[in-house]
Formats: sequence, structure tokens, C-alpha cells
Amino acid sequence: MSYAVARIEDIPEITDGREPWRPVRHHLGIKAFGVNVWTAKTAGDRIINEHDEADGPDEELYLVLSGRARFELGGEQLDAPTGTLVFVQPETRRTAYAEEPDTSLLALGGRRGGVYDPGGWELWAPVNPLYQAGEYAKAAEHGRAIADANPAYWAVAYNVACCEALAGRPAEALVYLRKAIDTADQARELAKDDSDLESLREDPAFKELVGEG
Amino acid sequence: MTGFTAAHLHEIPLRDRWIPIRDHLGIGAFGVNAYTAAKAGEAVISEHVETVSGHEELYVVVEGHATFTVDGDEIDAPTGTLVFVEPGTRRGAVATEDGTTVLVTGATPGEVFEVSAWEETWQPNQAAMKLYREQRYDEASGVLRDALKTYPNAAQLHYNLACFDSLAGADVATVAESLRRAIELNPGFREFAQSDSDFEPVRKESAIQELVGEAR
Repeated sequence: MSYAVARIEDIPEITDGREPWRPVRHHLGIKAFGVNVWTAKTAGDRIINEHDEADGPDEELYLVLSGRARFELGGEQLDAPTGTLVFVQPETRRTAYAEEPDTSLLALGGRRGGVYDPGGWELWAPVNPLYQAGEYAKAAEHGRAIADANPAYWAVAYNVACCEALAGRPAEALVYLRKAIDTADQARELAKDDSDLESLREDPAFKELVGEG
Repeated sequence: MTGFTAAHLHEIPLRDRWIPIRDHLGIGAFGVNAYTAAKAGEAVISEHVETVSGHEELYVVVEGHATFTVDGDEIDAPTGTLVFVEPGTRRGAVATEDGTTVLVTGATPGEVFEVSAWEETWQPNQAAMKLYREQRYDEASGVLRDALKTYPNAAQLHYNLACFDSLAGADVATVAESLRRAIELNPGFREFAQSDSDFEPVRKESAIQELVGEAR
């Protein structure tokens, strides 16, 4: 592939039960930075869930593509008509609401002084509510199909491993943990003290995979 | 730390067609700029490749309507079109409506982002180009020699210095050394130099011929 083209409205929306969005980065095959489009159909709807990016830590840039948004940034209000750019530091809590129907925001993300990791969180997001609700077997089942179809996304395989381990299926957990570690070294680091994988910790295959000691 | 910075696209002072978003907002994680064409028919994205930077680039038409040409294919691109291009693929875009603006985001997969040399050296380069257009070649060279103290690896500055020195009647060894350095940093400048009339005063010299070959 040397290039890819799409109209924003043609990219199917995905949702984790909160605000839906269009996974632009995944759809176009971008690997160097994160990019998604969030749209609110109705004035008053929340467009961006309240969050910070301190975990990355990732910088984020928002551009209002259509309509009008109201941002709340670390307690400050910002009126943001179409064409407004809002650049937010990783630690700052941020959320945004639509002030007009069909308000769309482009969100770009990356890490200052670090490498952007296209781990595939976008594809895991729809499964996450099952994990949060403790329905680990069901989450693993949904997640496996996504991991198998998208082998480059280590984070999806890793989360499947966690769900399998929590569902009491160690053999399956190890298969997906191996896939994740084969794709990205950071999966090994995470696995070393992830409480979701507690049930595997004494398994010799786990020790060999994660390289304890 | 203020926590955030914000600006409207059209509040950011333009540098020609360029809206320098990254610089204006202080972004360090990726390259991001916009380009705007006031009139239909104007180029909004100059034809280029990103071989030297290795950047993947995403173009988003945020206002108006453009026609992209990517890898020889024409793409109709109204507002809301996304065009994602790999580093080695040739791309450009022309506005087909007045007031067309395209947002560009770029970075290299698997690498830490660094601000591109062309972005950092834009101001001294523009100052030198103004003197060049006024045929004040000596002064233009002086501006670039100063800028090169800060940006010794900026290929474009070395290349333009070679041009200005050539026109100012500097000795061939000086011109050849700047041109050699430009080509070393960005091999694309060899082809540029073959048809660049700024090198007419020195083109027949063997030191120049060795660097760029025969004029086409």
C-alpha cells in the first residue's frame, strides 16, 4: 500500500457504550500517531469522555471539524467553534460537549520524546465493558475474534490473555500472551506484575515466557 | 505548565500558505500544520515525497475542496476527505474551491518525533529568499551562513547558500562545498541542481559537474 483514502462519514463508528467514534488510524493503517473522529448528533451531547493522558503520557490535539464544542480543560471552559484547535498536555483532565447538532472533533495523539505505540486500544474498546462487568469468558470470546483478525495489535492479544486467565482458562491465556509478547516487548514487562495474570504465575510455561528472575 | 493552548486555525499568523500549528501551539509529539489556498486553482499541497523525513502523512480537507494527485492517481477530495500517504509516495493537491484548507499530520513509525529542519529554518530562509529576489546575493549568503551556525544539518540552507554564492560570483570551491553538503544530507538536491539556473555561472566547472553530472 502506498496510500489510502476515505471520507470521514464512510468510516464505521465504534463504541464502548459511552461516546461513539470513528477509528481513523486503524481504518487507514497509520502507525506513527493516533487519530480518531468523534461526532455528537445532538446539541448537549458529550463528545469527548472526561479523561487525561497521563498514562502514556500522550499529547493530544483536537480540531473542531464541524459544529461548535464546549471544552472543559482542567476546570476552565473554552468555547470552540468550527476551526478551533485545542492542544492538551497529558496530565490535564479534559472533556467536551456539543453546542450544536452534528459537531465533529478530530483528535490526534502522540508521545513527546517517545515512540507512538499503535497497540490497538480502539478495537478493544467495545469489549472493555464486558471486562469491567467481570464477564471475562464473554470478553475473551469477543476479544479472540478481534485479536485473530488483527495480529499486529499486541494490546488486544494481551487483554484476551488477561480475560482468559481471569476466566480460569490458563492454556488459552498463555496462547494469547505469547502472541502479545511476540509482537511487542512491552507486553512481557506488563505481564511481570499484572494482577489479572495472577493465576498463571506459578505455571512453568508462564515463567519461561515472561522470563522471571 | 498551563495545561492547554488553543487557537482558531485562522488566528495563527500565516507564513505564505502555511499555518504553522505545531510551532504556534507548542506540540512536541508529531508534526502538524495546515496549508490554505485563497483561490481555486492554487496548489494547496506542493508536490513532494517524504523520503528524507520518513514521515507517514495524513491529510484532512477541513475547508473547501481539493484534487489530490497521489502516486499518479487523481483523488476528488471535498471537505471531510482523509488521504493517508506512505513516505516514498509522490503527492500534491490543488484547490478546486476558494478558501481550501488542508490539515497535515506527520511522524515516522517506531521513531521519536523531531521537529523537521525545514520548519525550524523557515524564517532565516525566507529572509534570505527576499534578498535573493532583490538580487542582493552577498547579503542573502550572509543570512544563511549565520543560520547554518544554529542548523548545521539543514540541507535546504546549504543548497540555497550554494545558489546564492554561485550568483554572487564566489569561488567554485566554496559553491561546490555547500552543494556537496546539501546533496550528502538530501540526495534529492542532485536532481534539483541539474536544472537550477542559479548554477549557470559555475555549471561548466569540473567540481560542479562531478557533483551533479551534465545538465539535462
